Amino acid sequence: MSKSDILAKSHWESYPFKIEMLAEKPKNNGRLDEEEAARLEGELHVHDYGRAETGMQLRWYWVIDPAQQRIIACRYELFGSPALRAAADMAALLCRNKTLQEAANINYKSLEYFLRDHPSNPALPPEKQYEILFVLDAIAATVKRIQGEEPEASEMVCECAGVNRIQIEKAIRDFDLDSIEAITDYTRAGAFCKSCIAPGRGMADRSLYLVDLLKEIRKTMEEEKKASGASLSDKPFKEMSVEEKRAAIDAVIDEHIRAMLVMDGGDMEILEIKNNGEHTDIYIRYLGACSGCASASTGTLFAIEGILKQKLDPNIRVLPL
Amino acid sequence: MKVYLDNNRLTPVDPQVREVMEPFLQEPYGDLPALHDFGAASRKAYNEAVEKCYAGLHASEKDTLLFTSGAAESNSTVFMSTYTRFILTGRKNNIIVSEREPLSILEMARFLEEQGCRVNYLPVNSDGIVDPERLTDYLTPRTALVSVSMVDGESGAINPVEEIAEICRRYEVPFHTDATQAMGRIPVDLQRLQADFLTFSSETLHAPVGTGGLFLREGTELLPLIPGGRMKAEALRGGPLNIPGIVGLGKAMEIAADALGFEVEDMRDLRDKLEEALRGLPGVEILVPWALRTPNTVLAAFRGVESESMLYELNREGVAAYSATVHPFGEWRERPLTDILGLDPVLRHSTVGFALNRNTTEAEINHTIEAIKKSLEYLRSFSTLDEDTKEQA
Repeated sequence: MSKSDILAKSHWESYPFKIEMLAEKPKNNGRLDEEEAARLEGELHVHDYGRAETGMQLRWYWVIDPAQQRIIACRYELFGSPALRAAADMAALLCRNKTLQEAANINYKSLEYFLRDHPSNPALPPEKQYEILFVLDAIAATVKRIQGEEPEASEMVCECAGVNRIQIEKAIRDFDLDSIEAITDYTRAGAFCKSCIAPGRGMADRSLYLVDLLKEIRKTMEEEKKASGASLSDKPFKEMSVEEKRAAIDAVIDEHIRAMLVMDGGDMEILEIKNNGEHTDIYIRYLGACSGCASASTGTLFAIEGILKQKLDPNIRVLPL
Repeated sequence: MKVYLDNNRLTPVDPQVREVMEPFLQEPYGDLPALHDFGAASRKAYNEAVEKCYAGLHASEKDTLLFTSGAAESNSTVFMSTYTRFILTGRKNNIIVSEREPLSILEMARFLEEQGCRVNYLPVNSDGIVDPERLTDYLTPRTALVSVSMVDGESGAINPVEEIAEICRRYEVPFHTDATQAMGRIPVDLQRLQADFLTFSSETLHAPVGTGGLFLREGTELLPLIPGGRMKAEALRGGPLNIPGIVGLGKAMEIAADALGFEVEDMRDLRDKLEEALRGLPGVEILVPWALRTPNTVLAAFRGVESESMLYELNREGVAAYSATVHPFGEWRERPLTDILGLDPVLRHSTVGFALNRNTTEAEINHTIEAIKKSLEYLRSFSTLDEDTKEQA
């Protein structure tokens, strides 16, 4: 515990303006019918995900262009909190004009960044992360079902929240979770009756407990990490090989820079890294809205260079092509 | 218009209570054991408050009252004292609490369980109240304490504590009841209720939060949770007493006792008006039968609408309500209330409660009814509720 835990706060007040706006005035809620689908010359797909019994349910209405497998219209109905409404609304916006595969590829970061007001402030507090994950799971499950695949069968771990083993394992791996509280924040497993957390909590005896599952998955993760060797070396940046430098630069860009660009509809990629005397020259190319943006060669460039200099080495130079 | 209907958690401070507290917040006042005139003035106000508390609960002269910082401290004092005196010494090995006790008691029960004490959770029946008959199934000669709260803070269900107290008396087992949610809503009479320990608190009595009390029946022993009292009144709870709080609590107790049968009946009429309006809405279930509920509470389940989103919409209309759904964080519950009451499991996450206070006005209730209708219609327009139910609704 620390001061930040002692300060009183509620998640309603800490919602970013974007979430508040989407929760108050969602734009893509409602339903689509066959008539609308016929007008758009597409097929209507309606799929449910989740159950009202566990507190969250989302029903996607997708009109799909059969030739290109592209989502041409997207609406939703839901049973859930205002944050879920905001996340679903943003996801509906993102799904539009994407192919099924592209929609399935929308990941946590891209959806979460779109809900942020400022690139460095998370959209939702830790204990509400599961709302975003639920929307992504709903998209993935819907894509699978449209493609005719059955969802993988998996042991139910938390009945109250309807979370199965695969979901928990995925959350632990994707977000590198190392405590029960974190699992609850990201999946809601163990949030209600608490009998799935550890033996002796709650009245019901269970076959699978979160503590055991966490231990098991952390162990396999450790082993995998050892097997694959250290991915990022601890060497100072100067002494790294070009390959290692690339990995380090990629990590910094992913963590600190890409979000900023994606917020404005742009992106960047690294073309080449060259050692030039004591300097390291990084050749980059802007993508999306960044290419052609007036500040790409001034403000944005200085920001990218500044972050890399600060995080890695003062002798880095960034050269856009 | 702002309407506050979360009064089972906290009530606004009554102007009369503020008035009696004001001298203590503006001018110097003495500590109770102090010999000087400032102390004497404090003692006078304190003694009056004590008289009012005894009168408010119809306690006998031989009962003991100790002031605490609130219901959680009173409850913990009883449980820790029971633990130290009976469980730790091996004389007794069992306590019985109802499964819908306030959080402070459930956590205490869990603590005792961890210490090796056997804890029985008394189930509540499909009306949301404890069945006294069931208690005898659990009672053993080694039961150290039975604790059943007088009123459920979420549903407003009134437990038959008088009968439970009688059974405990017959089996010679100490009985504790938390009357926090009952104070000011239903009569609490220590002459009729044979409880050994009775907890109450200021926050539901239109006094500032942070003062509470614990009544001990004549002959009941208690070990202090906080030792270090300098005078007899502090023997069971150390530290200087919260004089402004106690003075306010005394006044609040007096007003609450006078309000029973008057303002409380007006409050009941307004609650009934709200309840009737809710019953008239499609797909809305009222939890706990009318006759078994405190006159200020109505807890409803709105089919197809999630609690938090309903609270969010109501909040935008200026109405503050609460939800009784299994709250995801920090709380501990064995079963959701809707399951206990035998309702459809889809209603688990759809409960919204409205708790009035005796100053709630008719205009506020009218506004609330309109806000509920508006929010319900809006949220159901894009809810996953299936078509058939939507048409019925």
